[in-house]
Amino acid sequence: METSKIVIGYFIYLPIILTLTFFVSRTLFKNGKIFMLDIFHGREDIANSTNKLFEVGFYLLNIGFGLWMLKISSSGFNETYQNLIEILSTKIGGFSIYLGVMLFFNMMLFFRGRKRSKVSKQQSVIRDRMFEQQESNKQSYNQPRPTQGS
Amino acid sequence: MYNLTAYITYLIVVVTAILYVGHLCYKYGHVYVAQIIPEDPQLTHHVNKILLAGYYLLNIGYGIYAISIWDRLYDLADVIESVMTHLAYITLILAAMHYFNMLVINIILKQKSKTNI
Repeated sequence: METSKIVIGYFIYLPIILTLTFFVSRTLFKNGKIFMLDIFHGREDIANSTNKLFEVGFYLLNIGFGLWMLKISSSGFNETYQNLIEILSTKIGGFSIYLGVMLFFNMMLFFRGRKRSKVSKQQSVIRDRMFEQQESNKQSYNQPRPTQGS
Repeated sequence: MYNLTAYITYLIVVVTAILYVGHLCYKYGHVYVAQIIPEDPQLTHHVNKILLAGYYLLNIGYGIYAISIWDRLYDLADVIESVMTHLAYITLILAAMHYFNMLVINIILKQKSKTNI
């Protein structure tokens, strides 16, 4: 009964990858909203949308990858439970390492975006200050100067 | 018989997934399209609708085409394998398109902000 063992393997593998993906993405994007608010300078609507879209992408990519490497029969299965456990551990372990890499990659994106938005904010602040200074210089230039000694 | 089971499962899951993802992208992508074309809310709405229609056509088209290249199945393990592999392909295609779309929007927004300065 080779087939039934493979089916058992699938019924173990599928729930595990689905719950893993679900929990990782929930943790990542529940906390990602704070980063997004920081990146978009507190604009709620666009921060929320971006977070949601990244979440959709994360789910698609990881569930797609998990389903893609599901196939057991092509990896030399020899009909024993021992072999089933070995193959499953390779697949689930590989998937969770992949998930970890994706998690860190997403976090790296968040941190980079935050850094960039900080730099651009500083630049805009500097630009605004320079503009204000120019304006005030102009005004003081246009005003009649107080005569000295009076 | 096994093939038929596989087709039915596959179609149900694929169509649901495509409709759901399309709905999410439509709902949350509205802000971006509105940012690219801020002058005309009516046009924004239509552009978003057309994007959604194109997305549906492309993906459901591919999803149905996949049935025509399906192998013959002989047992339950074959059914699960083939359904999940095809789902994986379509999910990965969706993911690739999604990231590509986000990249394009990002590039357009960047260019726009450059011309504004």
